[in-house]
Amino acid sequence: MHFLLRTLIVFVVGVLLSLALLILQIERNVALFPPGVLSDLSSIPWWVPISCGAGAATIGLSLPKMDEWFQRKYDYHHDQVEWVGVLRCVGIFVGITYASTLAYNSVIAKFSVSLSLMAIGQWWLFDRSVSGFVLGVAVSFTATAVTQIIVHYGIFSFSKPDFLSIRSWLPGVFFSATIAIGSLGRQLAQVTFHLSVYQFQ
Amino acid sequence: MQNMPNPAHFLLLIASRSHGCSPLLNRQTVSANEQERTFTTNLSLYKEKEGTFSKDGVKYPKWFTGKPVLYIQRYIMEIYYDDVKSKLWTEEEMNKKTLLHSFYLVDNITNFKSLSGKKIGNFCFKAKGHKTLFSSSINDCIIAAPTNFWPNLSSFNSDKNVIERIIEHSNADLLIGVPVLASGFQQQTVPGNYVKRIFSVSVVMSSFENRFLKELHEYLGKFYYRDFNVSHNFGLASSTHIQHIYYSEASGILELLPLLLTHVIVFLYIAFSVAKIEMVRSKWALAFSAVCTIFAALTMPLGISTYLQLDSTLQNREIYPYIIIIIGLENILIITKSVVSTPMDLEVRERIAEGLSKEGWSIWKTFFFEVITLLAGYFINVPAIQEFCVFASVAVISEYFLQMFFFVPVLAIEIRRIELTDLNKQNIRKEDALSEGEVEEQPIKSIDETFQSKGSDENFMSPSFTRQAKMPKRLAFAFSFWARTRIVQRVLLLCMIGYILYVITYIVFPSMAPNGSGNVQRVSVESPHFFSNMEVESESRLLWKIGLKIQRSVRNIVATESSEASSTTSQLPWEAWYRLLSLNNYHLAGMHIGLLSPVVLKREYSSKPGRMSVDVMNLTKQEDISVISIDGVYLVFAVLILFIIICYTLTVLMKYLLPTTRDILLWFIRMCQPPQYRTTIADNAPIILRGHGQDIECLDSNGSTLVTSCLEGKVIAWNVITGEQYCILRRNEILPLPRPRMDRLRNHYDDSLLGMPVRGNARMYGYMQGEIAPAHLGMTGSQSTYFGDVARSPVSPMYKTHRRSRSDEVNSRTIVESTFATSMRPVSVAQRLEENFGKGTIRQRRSDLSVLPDGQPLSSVDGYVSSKNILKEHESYNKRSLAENYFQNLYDSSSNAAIWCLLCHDNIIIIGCCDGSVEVWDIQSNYRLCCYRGCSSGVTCLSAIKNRIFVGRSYGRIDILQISTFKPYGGSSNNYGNDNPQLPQLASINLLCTKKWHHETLNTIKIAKEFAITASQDKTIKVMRLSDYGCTYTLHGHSDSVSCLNVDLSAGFFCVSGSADCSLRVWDLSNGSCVHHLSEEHTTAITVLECNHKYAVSISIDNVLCIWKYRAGVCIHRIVQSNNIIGGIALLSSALMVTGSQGCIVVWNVRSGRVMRTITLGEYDCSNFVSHMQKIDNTTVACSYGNEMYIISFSSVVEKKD
Repeated sequence: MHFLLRTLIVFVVGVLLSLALLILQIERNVALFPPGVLSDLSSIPWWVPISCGAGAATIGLSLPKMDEWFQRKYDYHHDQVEWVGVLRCVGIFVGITYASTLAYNSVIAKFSVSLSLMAIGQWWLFDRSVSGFVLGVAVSFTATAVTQIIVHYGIFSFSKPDFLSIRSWLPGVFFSATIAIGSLGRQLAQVTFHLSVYQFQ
Repeated sequence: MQNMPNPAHFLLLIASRSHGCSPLLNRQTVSANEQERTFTTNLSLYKEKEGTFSKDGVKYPKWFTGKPVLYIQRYIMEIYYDDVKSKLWTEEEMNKKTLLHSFYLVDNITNFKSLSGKKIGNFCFKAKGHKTLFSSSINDCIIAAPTNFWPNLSSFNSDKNVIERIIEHSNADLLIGVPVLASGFQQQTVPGNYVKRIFSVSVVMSSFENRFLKELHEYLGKFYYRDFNVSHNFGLASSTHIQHIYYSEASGILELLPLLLTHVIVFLYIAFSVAKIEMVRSKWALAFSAVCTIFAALTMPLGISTYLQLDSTLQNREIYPYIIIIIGLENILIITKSVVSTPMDLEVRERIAEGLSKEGWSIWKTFFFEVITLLAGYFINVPAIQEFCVFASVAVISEYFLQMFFFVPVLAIEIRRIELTDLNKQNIRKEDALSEGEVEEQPIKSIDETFQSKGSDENFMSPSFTRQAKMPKRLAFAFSFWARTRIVQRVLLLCMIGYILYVITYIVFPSMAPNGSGNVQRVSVESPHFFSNMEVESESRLLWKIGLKIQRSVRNIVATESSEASSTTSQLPWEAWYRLLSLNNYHLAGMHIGLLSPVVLKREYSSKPGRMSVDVMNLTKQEDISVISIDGVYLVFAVLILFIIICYTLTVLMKYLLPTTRDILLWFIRMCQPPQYRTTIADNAPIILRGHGQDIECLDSNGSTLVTSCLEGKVIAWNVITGEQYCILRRNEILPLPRPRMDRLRNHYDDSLLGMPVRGNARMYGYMQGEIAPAHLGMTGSQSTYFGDVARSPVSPMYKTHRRSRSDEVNSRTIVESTFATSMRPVSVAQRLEENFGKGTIRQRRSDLSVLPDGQPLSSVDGYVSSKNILKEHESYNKRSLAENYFQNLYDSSSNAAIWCLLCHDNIIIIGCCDGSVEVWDIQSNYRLCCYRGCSSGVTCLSAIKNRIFVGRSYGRIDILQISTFKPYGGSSNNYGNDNPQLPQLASINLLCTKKWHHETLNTIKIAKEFAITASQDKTIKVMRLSDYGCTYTLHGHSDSVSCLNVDLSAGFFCVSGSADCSLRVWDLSNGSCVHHLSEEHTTAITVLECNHKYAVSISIDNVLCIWKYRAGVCIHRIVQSNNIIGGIALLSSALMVTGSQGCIVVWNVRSGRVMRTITLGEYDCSNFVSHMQKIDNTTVACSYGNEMYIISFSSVVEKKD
């Protein structure tokens, strides 16, 4: 039950975030879709939020599991529920995505490196776990590859591709997203753990 | 009230806040978030017939549909005065001459008639509705020109102060048509230099009439270009482009989604953060001030950057959420938590200081990393991000500033409010008046050299340094290097000095400043805001250079604009036109306008024609210097603000990093306090109490009486002040009364009861033989009261009267009630009777008795009991069994069992013996009142509250006994220690409750508030409610026997326990949690523990004495005493401590951990140890020394400290 609830929450958050950031990117002419997209709400390609939500759910559920694999001693008995940190983390992710839409091609290499460094800084500030880093790197590689394939098939494209046919800041943004969604998933796992404990009592 | 934050601070704060934010009031916000909102088309694409632009081969932006709503033509007027003229004319004259041209120009434009007979009024854009400021007098055309400052030419001519009028106007830049700073009106002119003034006249037209404009420009050229031959600036030759500006409509919900999302995140973040503020009186007020802090931190950077003339190109509503997330609320939470968790008995300022010092390092670290991160972000060469980073770092700095100067004072007020309601604290203050003054060390006569005081120099060791010990080695090295060399401090200081010197030379000698015009050419078309002018010279620039860069960029903008001196200069920001039109009731949202290339008109006042053109071109280089001197005002502001921030950061840095500077600050704080008094200790000869034959085993005191017992079982009560013996309890002697036989009892009253004088009518002095009284209550039948020998009584007739009337039922009843009312607690009597006589019979009586008001304290009993009516009901009771019940404890055996513990409570002495009996003796009468022998296991600890005694026993049982005494004398008799048995008391003891409370021996019982706290060898501490003797908490934590326990009620409900597991624990008894576990300092079992409201002192078996600030969980001193065994401790005040040693007692200053004095005991023999120490009051201690007792008073002399 709690598992389903967690999945649902992370999925919804993923959908919302992807929608918002997609609109941001379309508005800023970063991502180009076939004409007609974003004339109204219904014309948004349905597969984007759905796949993003699914991805978010995967990340949000797998990070707590990975914590166990990497034997990270998570003090689930600790009473404090640190939603504050999660919200800051998500906020910084949105900020990094926002910043990515401001990139100019003239300084794109420097920009992408800095953005990736910022994402790693975000990991260092909020996570600092091996599992988070590994998952982040894995996700950023996979997602970048998937995006490359999508762009290759012409489903959508970037306005100013600078790395193959995608943007070079994508891995950094994906890494940041993994950290943010991962911390959310971890937090939810903690909360539901508490809930189950209280129910049991 | 001296703890209240200074109102001046608030004034300063409010002033700085309002000053920082005032530019915001003049700020215009324009709603448009299109990045590419401007678009330039070639004039050749214009189709004159349709009024639209051809769409061949040109990629237009989405919004570019249809024709522009309106066109704007600007005429920029540049007027030059050469060196001669500028010497000749005053500034005012030059300004007037310049502005006069605007009237001519507007007049020329409006009155111009083209060849086809059209005037500008035919196609100019008309103002809607009422006539506005901007519409010219003719045809209601919207013409923005300096003429609009004045209603007409005559009022201009009569105006004495033109410049003031311009500067004070809220839309000065619109009317002048160029940014005021670039116009030159504001700048100080240096006589003898070239002077330039610029203004522009903007005509708003509803359609683009190319031909008419050409004619107009040619016409104007006749007036203005003749003597100034710069042809490339002339006319339509440059006007080949139209710049289209799009003003977007209010965004749809879809476009707002990203923004909405970030705001929701931020809202949740703030809500969660604020909800975490805990343990304060008014959570809402503090949350409000926290949000205020954030809000102010957002607005202050805006104000500062406006002062610095850094025009933000970013949308505020878009970047604010991120800035909130970056600056965070964590520090506020941390500060609150750490300040609130400091000991409540400290002064507010000390609490704040302690709380801040605890978290200072981590806060500063976070701050540092944030600024470093933002600096790193600055080196991304994306202007928007650079701007954001600078903005955010200013926000972070101002947030830091506000936390210290706004939030902390609010917190102080909050704490102060809590304190005012805390009455407990004041009581303690009064009690502790001695400790208010700092206790000064006196020259020590015989310092024990073996005392090694560790850490007395590190008195004010900052917590950051204690934390440092736990750091990894690399970090520890780095920090030690850091702290030792103070490299950061020095580097920062050097930077500061260099920076200030640079700025000073820059302001004072502008000509010496490096010329910044080299950067002028780097105007980036792509990003029109200030950062584009900056080149990122080297990425390894330091943080403090940011300030320099900002200022340099300001200069560059001005330099750029003045050097170009053509159409691209003096551009108004794109939103200016939106403003202009909205001032004329026309809103451009969702429309685009066409901005025609401006026409530049020039005019010079020159004495030497011909030379001018060259000179004018060179003008700009000199120009920017004077511009900067104008800018000086802003620079001074900026420098001041930066200076304050940097100084404050430095101070904070030093405070938290360097203990020495912290000492200086503390010293400074002390200097600000009212004059201090020094307390010295006067020499007083100790009172020696001799009387015991053996070593003293137990002692206790109630403030006026000291009770001691020695190994042979002798118990002596002493007067503390005089040292005289009150009495010696004759525990081994046979009791004066023989064991009474039941059949004798009836007659006994006649023999033994004595009548005593009666004072007044109602107050009767009488007494009964104590032990017999209850029995007599139960046993005598109709004859309830006897007044035997009344011969001694001077007012005996009164008694006789009374006796006569006792046959009268009603009268007698009243006497019973009145005497009960003043003599005893009826309920307790009833209870006792109930237990003794059987429950059924007394119940009815009890209901009667309970109606009576509660009695006065037992010691003030002046009356006796006539209990005829009670007794009547118990006539049927088995008298024999009752008597046996009652007397069995009294006369069974003489008590000579070894004394294990002793308690002096009110005027009675309670003795706990090894055989389990509890004896209650009266000090004044020297009689044993009663004895309880219900249990045979030894009594290990005793405690008493009112008439209840808590007896802890060796196998973990706890008995609660109740004594009921009648004290007929109220201490008026002088027959202490007398063998005369004529003054006994009434008393009985009975068991209220018995419980198997612990699994092992009880070590100590303390009673505080409504609880009894027990420590036991079974490693636990239990808290018992006094109301129903139930267990409230069982405190687990110690891993060995809990040997000692102390309760502190001064603020909250804390207790400190010491254990054989070498650790101390501080418990919060209000919630049963262990606040601190102090295990670092002691290595062996703790035997003695004393505490007052501030310090706790513990001694372990290996003679290590530790002084703790137990609320903070910090050991402030650890003193190893190698040879001498420390006996007892007494904490006299918060600053004075006395310990026993071999042959002497030692007086310590608790705060400094130093020996103040050593007092030698024993006239002949110094080999004994002081084994027991008892605090009598705040200035007096009693200590045992072999078989002698010493009472030593440390009366203090208060002197003003120099």
